[in-house]
Amino acid sequence: MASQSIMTRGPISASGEPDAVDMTPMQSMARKMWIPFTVMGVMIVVVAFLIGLFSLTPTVSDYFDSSKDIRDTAAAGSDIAGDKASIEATKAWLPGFKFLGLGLMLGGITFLLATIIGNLRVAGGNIQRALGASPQVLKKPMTGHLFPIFMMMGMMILIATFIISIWLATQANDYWDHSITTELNTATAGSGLLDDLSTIQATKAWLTPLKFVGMALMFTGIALALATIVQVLRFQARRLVEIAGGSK
Amino acid sequence: MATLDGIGRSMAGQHPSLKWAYLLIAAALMIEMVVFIVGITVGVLANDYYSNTKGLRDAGEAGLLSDLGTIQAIPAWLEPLKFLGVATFFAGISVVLAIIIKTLQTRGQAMELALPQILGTRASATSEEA
Repeated sequence: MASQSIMTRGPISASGEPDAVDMTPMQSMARKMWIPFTVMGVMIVVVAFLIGLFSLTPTVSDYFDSSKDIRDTAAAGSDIAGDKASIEATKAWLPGFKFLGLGLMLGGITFLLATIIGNLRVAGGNIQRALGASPQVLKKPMTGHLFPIFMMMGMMILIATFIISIWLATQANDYWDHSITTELNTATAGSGLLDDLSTIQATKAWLTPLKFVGMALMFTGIALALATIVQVLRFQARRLVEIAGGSK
Repeated sequence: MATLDGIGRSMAGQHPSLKWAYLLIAAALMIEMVVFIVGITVGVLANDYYSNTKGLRDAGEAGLLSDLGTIQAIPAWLEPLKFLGVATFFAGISVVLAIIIKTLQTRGQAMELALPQILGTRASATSEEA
């Protein structure tokens, strides 16, 4: 039996019973955090949908009610230019917001998996005690060390992309609140307007892939948490065979 | 017919299929990284292209048309590649879930065989004490 993968006894439980196996601090935290993360994630996705439905849709509808000539010649600060600026700004920050919501939900799933691992640990220890054997738990495998790190890295990237999205929205708002025909189309090389345009287009090109990198790290965390569950289940089956074989 | 020793041996070490799951997850992560790097490249190109005035861009001077073609063409395959990466993640996660099912079945077998043996030993010990 691979004795180096086995740690005899977990920490003493809150009840103070000797030999009792309890959740690790990370697992206890995960048990408390999965609900807030999931609820916040769902709320953000729902709010994003409502913003799309009740804010973006009427603005887009208003904007396209005007003819192309009127839209293109609308002066800076006018309602039509304002509508265009609002549409482009919302399109810049809303996807980042949605991804943040999805990221929180994936974070909730990761916490839930950590809670499952914690429950397997406690239940495994209790069964061993009930069978009259000294409780042993699996030494934290590499996947168990890595999955919270991947989850946190993914979350940080999604928060960063959301912050960048808000900044991009302010840039888009500044740029589009101008007359298309007389100001935007006639912007000269090196002007502030062309600088804004090139910044907006360049940022858009890499920001979406960065959001997917954030999601990718969250998915990696989930896969590694599942792999940890596999290792815990295999250890528990092995331990049962050991106890039946008389090596308590 | 499974035996306790057989189950004990089969549960030793890492599940052989787990390495395929790791491979899929690593491939998916690499796909998303490649997408991000290509995204940065497109961003640099877009920054150069949109620094030109609309007149120049519309006239398509000095290779600007070729830049525009690249900026428009790359997202055509980059977008599906992003989702291929996500699909590869789901494939990896499915493999791990399938391993969990198999492991739960084997663990059930282990309990089926081990518990009567453990409880039988304890019952005989108790009757001897009495």
